[in-house]
Amino acid sequence: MGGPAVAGGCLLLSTFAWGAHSPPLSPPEKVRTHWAFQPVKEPPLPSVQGGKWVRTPVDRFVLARLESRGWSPSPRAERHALIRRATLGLTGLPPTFDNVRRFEADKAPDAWPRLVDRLLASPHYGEHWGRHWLDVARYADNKGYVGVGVDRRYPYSYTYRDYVVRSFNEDLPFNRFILEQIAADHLNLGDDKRALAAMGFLTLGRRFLNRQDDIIDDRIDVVTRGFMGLTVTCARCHDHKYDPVPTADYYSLHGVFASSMEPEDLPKLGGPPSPRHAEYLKEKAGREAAIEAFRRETYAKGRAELRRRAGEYMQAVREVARKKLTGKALDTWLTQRKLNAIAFRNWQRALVRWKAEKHPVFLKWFGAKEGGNPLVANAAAGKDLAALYSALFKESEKRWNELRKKHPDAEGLPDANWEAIRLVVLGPGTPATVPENLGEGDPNSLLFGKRNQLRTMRSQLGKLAATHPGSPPRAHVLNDKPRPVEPYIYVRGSRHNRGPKVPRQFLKHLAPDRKPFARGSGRLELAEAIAHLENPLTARVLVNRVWAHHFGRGLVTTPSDFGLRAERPTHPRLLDWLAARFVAEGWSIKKLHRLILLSATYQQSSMNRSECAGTDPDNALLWKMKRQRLSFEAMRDSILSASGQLDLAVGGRPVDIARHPTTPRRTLYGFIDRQNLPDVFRTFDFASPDAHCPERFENIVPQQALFLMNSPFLQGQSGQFLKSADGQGELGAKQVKLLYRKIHQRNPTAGEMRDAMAYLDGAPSEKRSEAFAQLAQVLFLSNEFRFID
Amino acid sequence: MGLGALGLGNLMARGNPLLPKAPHFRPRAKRIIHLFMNGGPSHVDTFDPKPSLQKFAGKMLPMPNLPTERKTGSAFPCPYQFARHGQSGLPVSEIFPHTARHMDDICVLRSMRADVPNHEPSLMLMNCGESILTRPSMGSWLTYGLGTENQNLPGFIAMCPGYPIQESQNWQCSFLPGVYQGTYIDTRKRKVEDLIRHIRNPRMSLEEQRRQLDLLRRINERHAKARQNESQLEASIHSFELAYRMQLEATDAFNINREPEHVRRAYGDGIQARQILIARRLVERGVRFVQVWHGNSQPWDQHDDLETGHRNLARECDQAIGALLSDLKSRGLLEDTLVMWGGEFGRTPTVELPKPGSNAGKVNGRDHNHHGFSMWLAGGGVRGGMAYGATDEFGFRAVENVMHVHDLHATILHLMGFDHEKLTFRHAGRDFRLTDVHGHVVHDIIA
Repeated sequence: MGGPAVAGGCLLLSTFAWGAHSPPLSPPEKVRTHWAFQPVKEPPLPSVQGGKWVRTPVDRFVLARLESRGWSPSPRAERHALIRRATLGLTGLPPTFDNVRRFEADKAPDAWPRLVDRLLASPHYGEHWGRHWLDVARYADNKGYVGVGVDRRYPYSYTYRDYVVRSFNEDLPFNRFILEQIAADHLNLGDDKRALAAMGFLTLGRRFLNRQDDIIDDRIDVVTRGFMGLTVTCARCHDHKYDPVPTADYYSLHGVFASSMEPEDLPKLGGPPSPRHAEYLKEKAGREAAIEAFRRETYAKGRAELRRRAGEYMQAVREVARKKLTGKALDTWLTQRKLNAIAFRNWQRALVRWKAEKHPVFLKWFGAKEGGNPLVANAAAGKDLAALYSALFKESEKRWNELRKKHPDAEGLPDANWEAIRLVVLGPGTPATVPENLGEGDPNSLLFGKRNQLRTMRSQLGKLAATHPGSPPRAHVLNDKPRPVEPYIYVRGSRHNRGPKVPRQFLKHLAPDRKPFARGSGRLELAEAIAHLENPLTARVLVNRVWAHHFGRGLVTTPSDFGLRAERPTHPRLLDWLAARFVAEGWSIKKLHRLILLSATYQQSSMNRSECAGTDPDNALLWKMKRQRLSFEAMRDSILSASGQLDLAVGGRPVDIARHPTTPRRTLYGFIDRQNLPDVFRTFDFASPDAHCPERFENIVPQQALFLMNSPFLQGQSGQFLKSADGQGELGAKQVKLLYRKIHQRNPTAGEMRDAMAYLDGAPSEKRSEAFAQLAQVLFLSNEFRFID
Repeated sequence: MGLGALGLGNLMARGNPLLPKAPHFRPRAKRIIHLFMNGGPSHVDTFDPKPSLQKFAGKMLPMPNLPTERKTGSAFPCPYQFARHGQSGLPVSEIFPHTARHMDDICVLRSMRADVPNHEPSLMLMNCGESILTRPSMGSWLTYGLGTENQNLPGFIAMCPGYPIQESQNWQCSFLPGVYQGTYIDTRKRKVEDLIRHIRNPRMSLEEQRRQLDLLRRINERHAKARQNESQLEASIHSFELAYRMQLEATDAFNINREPEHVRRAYGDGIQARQILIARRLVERGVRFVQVWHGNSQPWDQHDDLETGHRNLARECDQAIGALLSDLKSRGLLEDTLVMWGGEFGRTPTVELPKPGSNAGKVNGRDHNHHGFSMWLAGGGVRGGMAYGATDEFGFRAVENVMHVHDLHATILHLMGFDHEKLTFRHAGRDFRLTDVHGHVVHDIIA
């Protein structure tokens, strides 16, 4: 092991060893020649021997490598496996028994491409592939922890999710998809404002107790790793140790996001108003009025309290003068007596003035033996003169209230002496008040003591916007600040340690001729630089992501790190060919799917072959199709689909899918609670919504088995088969056959039928229907169901 | 160096990632019980006596009050008596009489230091080694590095009656695979099936379930045979057998009624006793990391009424903690079980001043203090009967042998057999570790 630098990876905020300007570990020559930074050029197709196997150019690249090892590819998978692979792979849903039978019977040469086209045209394609993108976008429906009792929900997160689904379904060109997600607010969208929702890509991350620099870091990360496979945030505290990303470039991007802000009033997306819109507005207005009424009441009570304690304030002014308290000592003294500092200063100033003016009400206070307001002068003053004043103020207020009850238009008390006293606490310019424009977090605000209630009331308002079906959809956008921020480097990542100024601009290594961004924050220019034809990373990263989802392994095994520490691609020319075709064909992801799925490589059997598995257990050379476990979403959706419960509606507000009884909506629509993600998500390796997620883990742990064996969800769905079998006579072979068709999309073999019947017959007759539900559950638990061949 | 160096190969490709693994070198401790006094217990009222405070009672200290979350005023002497205990003679406040009997096995860390005087970042620092950004918790790192010795139970369990502040982020796995997330148990619930999700099938007897799983096995084996018994498929088959056994063992582990009467009596009554006793049953069964939180939100956060508050809180847990230490010792478990006690920080030796909305203005509580505070360790290769480090004369700031939370983490990983600089995970282009770029192993406290 070398020094700490090598072991630790990154010396974040470190005060030793690596400073901001340490030389990078990668020699310049290595950086210059790194494969991922070379321009994408469409390579010539390699020549191969086994040309008969080749269906598309993809196969040539794969076969060439296999042949160089003396290996051959695997034969084509059976049709049952193929249609299941393609249907789950493209839509996240299983085919039906009829789909399978029809495909098996379709002997036309174009049966396969037609199947692929049909699946790509399904609205469920966008749901499944949209979810892949949501992993990249670290999508969640709330902010994570932002403080006790603070509403953390993103009320319109679902509009971003639905935008992504729609973009995949409509095959929005990927370069446009980039522009919209980073800078839709800068694009000319015409009348259809729905694309504004795209900016949820930036805004829906974790909020880190609202620390701006960390929010910005998260945005830089999702943009740079998400689109370009570059770990730019490594350069937050020091120059990137391996890749050509200096700290200066990090702060150039930092400036772009620091120059952007989320508007208070999020823009509406348009579209036909919900039939329940009026109902929502009424409810909202009611709650807003309640908040306003509560504010008014709190102010009124606060001021009444200040008037009640008027004498105390006068006394306080006197004592503070005597003790000559100022500054912190004064603050402490006031705090201990629970005196409002602003009201106190009002009194201080007023009493100085009134002393100078010889205000008749206060002559006695300042020591005059006689004269002044007779009500004050003649009152029997005990030891506590302040209390006398308080009593007089109180009496004047009482008289005033009584008068106003009888004569609401009265402008003053008829008795001039009482009126003079009243005006001290109730007249214009009274010291016994505090301005209303103080923020409620200010301890001197009259709202301070009630700020938690106010916060709760407001969060109820937010909840209403998030959950009421009549609340119009809005976009979590960013806009440019009126004046962009001129960024400077934070030395070692500390905002208090200012380094040199840097312009807002793109990464130097990818754009040697870059110019500082000139339009507002520069977000659109940033997006354009990422989507630029000559950006060597963007297309490569995207085609690799798509490839990885189909094959369970990328051509580059680190899908979000194409830097110098990434492994070389297993098929570099194939990667470039795909990237070049992808761009040439208008950045169409659907066309990319066709390129991949029509290949013989994709259609290979997943059967293990010991002669290859020994040297290449990870199938890097693609001598077979990798068997993949169903993702959490595909598993849950497949169960619901087989039980006949699945609700196929597309889009809408998130629902709680962890509760019981379950909602039959697709798992995509489950509420993603970033803070307390329900166990079942994590158990099945769902993408962590903490940060951009390059790929999901594929673990097999007993907790998954426990869920499958015991959860009410599985019990409930397995039980559904009893309902459909109801009234069909005794549960027997006929129903078992149906189970197999629904769950495995095939008929049981004779052996399977025997086992199933033995299981049913082995249960006491009164428990036969329970045994039948258990049998259905067994099929859900089976590897045939949970894996894709 | 990351997983490869541990000989774990490609994590993604393997089956069960919780299988036991060997650390870098021979460990002194194999498992941990972390008693988390959330809210921040006051060190000057528990394990770090400061008689000088008495001299300045009601007066300002002869040093400026250090900045903490809120304003504090004059010296606030400890309202309790301290006495020396055991052969080591370590002083303990009267509110921890049962813990006090074990001082010869306890190492008091009196010079702990954190970064800021706020709960949220300090909780994150104590648990995950980083205040703001999302990082894996220590329990996740340890289960990642070591797996678990008992496949029938989760490797990392966090128990709390309710939720602490920051909720499940305290036991998060962050970028580590989801299986390393702490399993959260809400100990307000009493029935075993309510404590662990899906641990029992409400509709089937175990015999019926066995019959069902036998059929599953038959079906799966036929399926696997046709596919040349791939390891992934076998791992899945195996996972059902593990889960079946887990049902029995987990149910048993959480059922304290299986304990003899005298043991239950020794731990006492109440939620603390129950969850601390469960903790012992869990480590005994090979669970790697058990975190026991004192309570919902932040019970130890006594800005007001500290005297009665701390007395009551200590009463809730002290007897069970004492019983736990005796129990572990008599079972020979203390040797390689590390028990860790403490909060996210300590409290000021000065009184917190009234501030509307922040406290009740009673002027009888203490503010948060990250400049210096105490924790204690017992067992697991730690030297008993010693106090390590010291705060200043008044207990405001750690001044001698300062032990930052990163140092504590480095030391704990060391006790568990890891070089804290080498237990890493590649994420977003970096090799991350629990101690980031910090941390020094404190060898002085290791026996």
